Amino acid sequence: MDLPDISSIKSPSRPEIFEFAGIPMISYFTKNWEKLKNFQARPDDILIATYPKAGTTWVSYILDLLYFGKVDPNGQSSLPIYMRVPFLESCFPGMPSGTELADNLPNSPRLIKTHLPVQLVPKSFWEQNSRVVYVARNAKDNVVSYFHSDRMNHGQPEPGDWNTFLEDFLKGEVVFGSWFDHVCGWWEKKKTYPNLHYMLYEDMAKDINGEVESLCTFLKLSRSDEEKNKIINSVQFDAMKQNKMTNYSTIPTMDFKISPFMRKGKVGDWKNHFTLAQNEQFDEVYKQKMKNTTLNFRTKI
Amino acid sequence: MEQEPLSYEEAITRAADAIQRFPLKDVQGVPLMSTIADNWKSISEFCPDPSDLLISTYPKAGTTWTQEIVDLLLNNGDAQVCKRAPTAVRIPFLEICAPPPIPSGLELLKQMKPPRVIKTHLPIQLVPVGFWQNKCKVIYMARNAKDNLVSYFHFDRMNLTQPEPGPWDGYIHKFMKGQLGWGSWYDHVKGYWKESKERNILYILYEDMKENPSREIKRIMHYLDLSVSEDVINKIVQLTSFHVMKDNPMANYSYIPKAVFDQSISAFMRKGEVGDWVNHFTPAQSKMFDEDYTNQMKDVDIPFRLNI
Repeated sequence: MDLPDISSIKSPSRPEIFEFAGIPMISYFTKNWEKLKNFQARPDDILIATYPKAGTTWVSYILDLLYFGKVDPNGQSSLPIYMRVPFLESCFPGMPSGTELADNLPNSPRLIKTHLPVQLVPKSFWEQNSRVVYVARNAKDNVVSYFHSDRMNHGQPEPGDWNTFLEDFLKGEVVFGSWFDHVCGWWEKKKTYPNLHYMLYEDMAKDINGEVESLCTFLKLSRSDEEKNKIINSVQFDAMKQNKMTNYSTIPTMDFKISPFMRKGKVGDWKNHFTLAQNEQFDEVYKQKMKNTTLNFRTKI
Repeated sequence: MEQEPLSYEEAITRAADAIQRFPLKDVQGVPLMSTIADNWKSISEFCPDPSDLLISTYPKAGTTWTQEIVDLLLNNGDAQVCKRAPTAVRIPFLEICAPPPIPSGLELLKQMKPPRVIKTHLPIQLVPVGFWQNKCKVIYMARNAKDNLVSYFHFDRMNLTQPEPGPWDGYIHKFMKGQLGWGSWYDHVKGYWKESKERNILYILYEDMKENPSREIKRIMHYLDLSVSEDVINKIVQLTSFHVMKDNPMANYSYIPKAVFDQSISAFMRKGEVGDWVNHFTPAQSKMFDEDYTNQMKDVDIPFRLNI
């Protein structure tokens, strides 16, 4: 398909945050709500769900290569990942909406990305028993990454300074809402929905081979060791950072002078951002909000 | 007829246009404000009277606090007497030189009769030899490195005559390398510590003063051969508590015009706490700093505390 001409899009002023369907939202993700709500999922669809900045592009690219690396090798080098894996709820000016892109995907299975909390996912995904891959990242590294992303992405509300953003994050007053509700909501869904594969970013960072293996098992994919090794090399952080098809360098609303889209990708970078006092306060809130879950994260590996 | 002499405040206001962030220049290996370096000969030749008292600190280590305590001790706790002029006039800053018509430290000292109390930030090797030759008393106040660094950072943000501090992370590195005004904190605190017995220097720790001001004020009292009543000690403790001093226009430097001290950026008296560094250092910065500290301080055992 043709790439839309997005080079002429002017950077709009940053969107305002408002409450919608129980969570903080911006209009780019609500404008297309009727079509989103009525989106028709297919049984073989794979929904890639994450809280923002939790490794979405990483796992999207892994799946893209697993399914289409051999079948459509030119695709990876000519179509940016955000066209190959549509952002379901998105409706940015001058671009086709996420639902439209998904409806027009030529490949099967369709790979579709979302940041929606579990309760807002179009019900057709559950009705069709579509497959879901959820990736969660430890809260501290996630908030750091989200902060830097918001600094450089004019399609998001202004984050303010680090102290302010951290407080907003703990209160769940950032786009797509509370990290706690998001990761726990999907974790609970897993108990009643066997077609949900819940992954941890830190496990991927530590043992990408093992995690790709688990993913293949979940998806009932058979791939040779040679193929898997090739994929793993392609999805190394530095390789993706340099790859124009995965580093979002073609998006005009992103100011890469402020921060690259793929900044560090490390586990433990929060230690360079949290003061010791913030860390202590964060741990208190975290302990309280996570006391009812068996979900366990590592903040270092 | 001779012009009415300017008050200190008026002089600063008149000089505001000449204020800039002055660069640092090397004086015997120590970075100093260019205005100080340019007048180094006069400063180094200053000859104190034996009755003069020197109060020395690394910048932002509790200087004003110590000055106010000493002035109150010398005046039997009389708050009104100790508001006779701003701190910088009552206790001149030895090496400071600023654009005219602001009087330099030396000019203020010339107008005063001994015994005088004098403030300095000079490391021990740069203190004019007259202080040692004349066996003047010296009180040195030191503060733990992390809180001192935080305080100095905020001070450099608001003091528009100091070099631009830059971002916090880079500032930590400058501190560790001794590239800030008045040089290395490590060399400074160690220099006075090692000479404290030999030269009869009273060495005080900010954290001890914070924890038990009454006891530390008595140490100063004895050192100065003074004797004041328990009531006066208690009064001095109260008058020099952070909140009282913060509201004292003669001690909080609020009379300095915004063109020089922009206290909307950061108050001169910001927090005065032990342990505020945890609100500034990340775990990574803290670890890196601790490693540097352990290495730089291995030859001394100064009992600094990071919290009380």
